[in-house]
Order: sequence, then C-alpha cells, then structure tokens
Amino acid sequence: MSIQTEHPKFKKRESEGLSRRGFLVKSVLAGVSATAIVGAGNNAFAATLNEDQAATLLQMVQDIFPHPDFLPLSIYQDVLKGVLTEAESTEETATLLAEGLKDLNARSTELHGVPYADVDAYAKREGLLRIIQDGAFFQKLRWATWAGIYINPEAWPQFGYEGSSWEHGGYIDRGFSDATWLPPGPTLEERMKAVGK
Amino acid sequence: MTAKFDQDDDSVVVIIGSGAGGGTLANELAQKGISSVVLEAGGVFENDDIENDEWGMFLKLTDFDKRYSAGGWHGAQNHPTLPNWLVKGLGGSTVHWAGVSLRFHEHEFKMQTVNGDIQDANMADWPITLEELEPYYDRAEIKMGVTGKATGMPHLPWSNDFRVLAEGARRVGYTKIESGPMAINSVDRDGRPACQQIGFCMQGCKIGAKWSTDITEIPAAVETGKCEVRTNCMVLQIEHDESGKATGVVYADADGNQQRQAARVVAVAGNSIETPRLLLNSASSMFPDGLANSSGQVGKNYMVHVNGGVYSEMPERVHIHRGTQVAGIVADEVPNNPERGFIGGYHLEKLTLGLPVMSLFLKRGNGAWGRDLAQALERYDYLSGVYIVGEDLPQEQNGITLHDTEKDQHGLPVPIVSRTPHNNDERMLKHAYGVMDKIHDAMDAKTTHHLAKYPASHNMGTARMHEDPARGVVNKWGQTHDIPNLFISDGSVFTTSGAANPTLTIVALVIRQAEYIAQEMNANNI
Ligand SMILES: Cc1cc2nc3c(=O)[nH]c(=O)nc-3n(C[C@H](O)[C@H](O)[C@H](O)COP(=O)(O)OP(=O)(O)OC[C@H]3O[C@@H](n4cnc5c(N)ncnc54)[C@H](O)[C@@H]3O)c2cc1C
Ligand code: SF4
Repeated sequence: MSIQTEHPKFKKRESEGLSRRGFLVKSVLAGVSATAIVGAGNNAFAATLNEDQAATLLQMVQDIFPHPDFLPLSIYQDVLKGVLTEAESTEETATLLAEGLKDLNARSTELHGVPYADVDAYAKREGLLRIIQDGAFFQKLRWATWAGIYINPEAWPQFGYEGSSWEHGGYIDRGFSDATWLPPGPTLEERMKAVGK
Repeated sequence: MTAKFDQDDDSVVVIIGSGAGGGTLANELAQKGISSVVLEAGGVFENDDIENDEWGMFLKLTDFDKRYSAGGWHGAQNHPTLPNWLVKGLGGSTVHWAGVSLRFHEHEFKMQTVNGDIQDANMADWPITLEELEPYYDRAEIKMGVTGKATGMPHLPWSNDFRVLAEGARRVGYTKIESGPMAINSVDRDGRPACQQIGFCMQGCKIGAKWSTDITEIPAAVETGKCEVRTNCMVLQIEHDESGKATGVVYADADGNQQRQAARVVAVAGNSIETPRLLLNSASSMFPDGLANSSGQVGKNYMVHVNGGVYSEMPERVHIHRGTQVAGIVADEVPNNPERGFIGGYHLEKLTLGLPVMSLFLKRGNGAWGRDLAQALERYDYLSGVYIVGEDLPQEQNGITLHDTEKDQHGLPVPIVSRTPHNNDERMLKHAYGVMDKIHDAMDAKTTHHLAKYPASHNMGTARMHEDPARGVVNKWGQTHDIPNLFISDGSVFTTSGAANPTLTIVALVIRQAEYIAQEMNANNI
C-alpha cells in the first residue's frame, strides 16, 4: 500500500480518472495497520468495516467541512486515521461507525437509489447528513473533522492563521498594523497628547 | 518573607478567591499592614503553562467544575454544562481576561432614578455615585496600569482590525473611538514590559504586559510578609458564632482533607456564581436561607451584559489574529437614550478570535457544519469584528440556585445558573447588530455573520449592593447587612451592570472597601 503524502490538494473525483474507491482507500489506509481494518481477526472492527465503508467515511469527513482546492486530502486522511485507530481498540466506536454507515447507506439508497459515496451532488449528500446530524455517529465524525482542521496547526497556514507568536516577538514588528487599504491610526505623539502628555 | 498563619489565628482576614477582587483586597490590606490568608480553589499557572494556543489554553485554564445552565438564554441550549467561562487558579479570571478597563458613567449608578421602574426588572440605584468612586477609579487605573490620563500611558497602537472598526465607525458618524483604556502596558511600566502585540491575551499574557493578579497583586501582597496564599484550597462553608458573627471557614485542602481557618473578617471574592453558592451552602439553623440572606436577594439579579459578536468579511486582508485581542472601543452608544427603544447603552469592542474559536462560534449547535460554514472560514484572514457589551437589566428570577440532588467533588450541591434575557436586552442587541451591520457595510463588507453567544464571562449582581437591607445583600462598602464582619469583594455586589466590562469597577470598589475594613478594624467595630 503506497503512502500518499505528496498529494497537495484535494482533487475532485471527476478530475481524477482513477477508480475513486481504490484511490481513497489506499490513501486512508496509509499509515494505519491495514490488517486491523480489512484483515481477518477477532476484533469487532475487522468484522464490521470494510474498504468500501472506509471510503464512505472519507467522503463524509470531506463533506462535513468541505475545503476542496483549499486543503490537501491528507488533512482528511489524518482525521479518518484517528477515527479508525480508535475503532480498532474500542468496540463501541467500531459499532457506532458500522451501524451509522449502514443507516446512512440505507437512507441514501432509498432516496437516491445509490449508496452515500455514489451520490454525485454535494447538496444531496449534505441533505442526507442533515437528516442524521443530531445522532452520535454524525457528531463523532463532525468533531473529529473539526479538530483535524481548525485546531490543527498543519491546516492553519492555508487560512492565514499564524498560530503561536510570542517566540517570534509577537507582531509588534511583524505586521499587526500593516494594512495599506485603511487609513493609519494616530501616531505615538497623538496618542500621548490624548492622555495629556 | 512568606507569612504562615496558624489555623486558629483569629486575627486574620480570610479572603476567598485570588482573582480581580480577592487578589486586590489581599494586596490593599497587606500594604496597610493587615494580615490575611487567601484561600484559592485552584492551582498556580506558571509561565511555562502559558502557551499561544487558543484551544489548548481553553482546556487548560477553564474551570470545568459542574455547573448547569437553565432559563431562556443561549447557555441553556448551546453549552448546558458550561454556563460561564471562568478560571479556577491563582489570579482567577484575570489570567484570561482581555484587559478592557472602562469606567461606569454617572447615569449607570442610578438607573432607577433616571428611567423609573421598568416592568419585569428589579431596578435600583447604587448606594454610591460616580463622584464618590472617581478617586478609586484613578487608583485602580494606576495600580493596574490602565492606559489613559491617570497613568499617562498612551493607549495602544491601532491594529489592522481596529482600524477597520474605527474607519467604519467614522464613516457612519461616530466620534468616540479609542484604542483603550486597557490594563495592558503600552510602555514598560511597574516592572512589566510593553505589549508586544502577541495576540493571545485571553490565553494568558506570556510576557506579563497585561495586568493579572497572579503576577501583580498577589506577589506584592506576599512580599510584605502579611499575606499567606493557600492554593488548591476550596472553601466549603463560612462558619459563625451564636451572636451571628463570622468566625472562620471550612475548606478542603489539596488532598481533599477538611481544614478550618479562623478569621476576624471574612471576605468572599469567588466570582458571582461561586460567591452566592458559598453563602447558600453556609446555611445554618440561625441562617436557614443562607448567610447574609435576610433580604432573600442572595443569588438573585444575576447579570451578564447584553453581548453578541459580529464579524464580516472585508475586501482585503485584516490578519485579525495579529495584535492585542481587544484594543479598540467605540463608545458613542453608551449614553442612556430611550428613544432608541431601550434603556442603558452599549460598547462596541474590537475582538480578535483565533481560527479555533471562530470556527466554534460563527455557527453553533449540531448543525454548525457544511459548505457555507467552511467557505466562510476560508476567508478567516479577511474577517474583522466586535464584541458588543451592553447594560443588562437585573431580574429577580435570574440567578444562582443549588441543585436538588447533584453534588460536587466535596459533597456540596452544584450550582444552577438561570437566566432569561429581558425584552430590553433583546431590543438593545437588535439595535447593536443594526449598527454593526452599517459600520461593516460602510467598509464594503462582503458578508456579515452574527455569531453564536459565548459562555458568560462577565458575572454580576448576585449579592447586590443596596442601601435598604430588605432589598440588597451588602451596603455601600460591600459589607453584608446581616453580618458586619462578612464582606463581598467581587462583581456580585453590582446593583446594575452598566455597559462597562466589570473588572475596573470591581477593583475600584475593593480598594475603597479595604480602606473601610482597615478603619473598622482599627475602631474595633469588627
Ligand atoms: C475571556 C474573558 C475575557 C474577559 N475580559 C474582560 C475584560 O476585558 N474586561 C473586564 O473588565 N472583564 C473581563 N472579563 C471578566 C473578568 O475576568 C472578571 O470580571 C473578573 O476576573 C472577576 O473577578 P472576581 O474576583 O470576581 O473573580 P475571578 O477573577 O474569577 O476570581 C475568582 C477566584 O475565586 C476562586 N474561588 C471561587 N470559589 C472559591 C471557593 N469556594 N474557595 C476558594 N476559592 C474560590 C476561583 O477559583 C477564582 O480563582 C473577561 C472574562 C473572560 C472569561
Ligand atoms: S497582545 Fe499584549 S497583552 Fe496580549 S498577550 Fe500579547 S503582549 Fe500580552
């Protein structure tokens, strides 16, 4: 299984040309013990989750906080790795995922005639997720995705958020007031005068 | 010079809590030669604990002791077990406060006289005036290092984010636009450095440019040899004798063992949730409704300030995360002008949110996900916005009560924090949203977001000050009407909330209270 760390941007399935599932699963599984997921064994996870399901989960986490052409796919893969790793050791999580997926695919098949990952339009997939958004399965993935993006320093640069600054001396000399499209603030002299100095 | 007092030394003042109120009181008394023991429920945050990590520090600093939220406010729905955003630790909530240090205006001390009775509100005048408090505001500003005339420290330089607000405000005709007053050094002062525009004030200031009692008042008090601080010591009960005088406190030490500390005077500064909770939990056969509660007002009239966040996407980059989190205030809407459809006024305060907190509050609830939210967050670097801080009316049913069955780690009932906004609050907020939309429109904003509300950070009113012992818990010195040697030394004493962030007023009141305590001790009245 190849490890796809060099994939800088999320690419949409349409532009991909690859079998989406084959590609996605490979990527998701990178770094996670594959046998734990698809191999034989006596843990609940292996018994309940297959590669198709992993691919569906990857689609889901991308749909929850979609940043196509903005964040690399690896951010979402890492989210899923975390969830899958937990499912390996926690039967409760494995069951939550397996049953949640079963339920989601059943709803999807009923409404759109195909499983979730094969529903082509984002709006339709979002609609399906809105139906289940109050459940534990969805919220688990939502918070995992939130954490994997918005509190993940690896994702921050893309948002323009620069993280810790004290070790660089703050922003006093690094652009806290660098906007040229706004009128400047008062000078030090003006600010001194304003307090009677 | 660390003092150590005997547990049955009944000559000391016992101070409960080491935040804005407790830390200040300890130092003021120490400077007058009065001995105190400070009991602080939390531990110490060392400089190494302070990181520029918004979410990590939220988890590290926030007091997650069990508290429930009830009533019709956002808290009950959005964060039912985190009604308030507090710090349990040396320095209390001053470790993560932003440093805005506004004074009350004259009318804000006499809202009942100015506006008459208001339906469904428990209006009252403060028993003190601005004129009486002014010298103490000066002293508070000098002590804390507040930019402005009293210290002669210039207000902070204007960041991009504030320049957006200032220019927008100017375009809609506002004029009261300033980058202060802030309790943050704009120049090196008092052994603390000037602000480096680090941008993580609410995660604890890494360099100590911002005033917080753990690095100022408490060390100064300890230095005198007159103050002993015991951390990880949670006070469970205030005890009294047959004459109804407070005699000391029972507390749980770091190992969970119960201890006693005798006292000549007890001062409670646990912030406006824990202060009334402690009074209620100290009920005895002599005071069955809780200590100092003959008025029935302990725990009532809980106020938080009308508040809301408005953030808009600007046409160019703002880099909102660069620089002091709040340092820029528009004060044109502070006057009491009922023609706007509400009484009281509000401030607009530029406020930095990091990406983590922005992503949590831009939308809230189970449905806060999806393409719209993700796209809005992709424009994080273009966002600019404010925190609205407005006068919140006291209502008797808003308050702190004890849970019937659920107990904390020490076996005491956990608090329930109930609040339902007054109609006046709703009207004020609507007005403020309208004003902010206009200000941002004037800056060619592309999209505007009214954020979900945060857990309450300004807590006031739950042991309020009133001249009449039947209508309030404490007199104008913060001394309880019922028990002369029991004082309240935090925002619980606020009669009404004003539109000013509360801390400067807490500190000014406590400086004044310390003088009174010293005088009454000298005269042997307490
Ligand atoms: C994010 C944030 C930003 C803020 N920014 C501003 C601002 O810019 N301007 C402003 O004016 N205000 C601001 N505030 C509010 C400010 O922090 C409070 O007004 C102020 O700290 C209140 O002081 P206090 O002494 O009442 O309580 P605290 O500072 O909260 O201190 C109370 C202390 O008492 C301790 N305690 C409680 N019960 C017990 C007990 N039973 N036994 C022992 N110890 C106990 C607690 O552990 C705590 O350390 C902000 C608050 C937050 C959350
Ligand atoms: S911006 Fe100033 S006050 Fe805030 S953390 Fe930085 S140095 Fe401290």
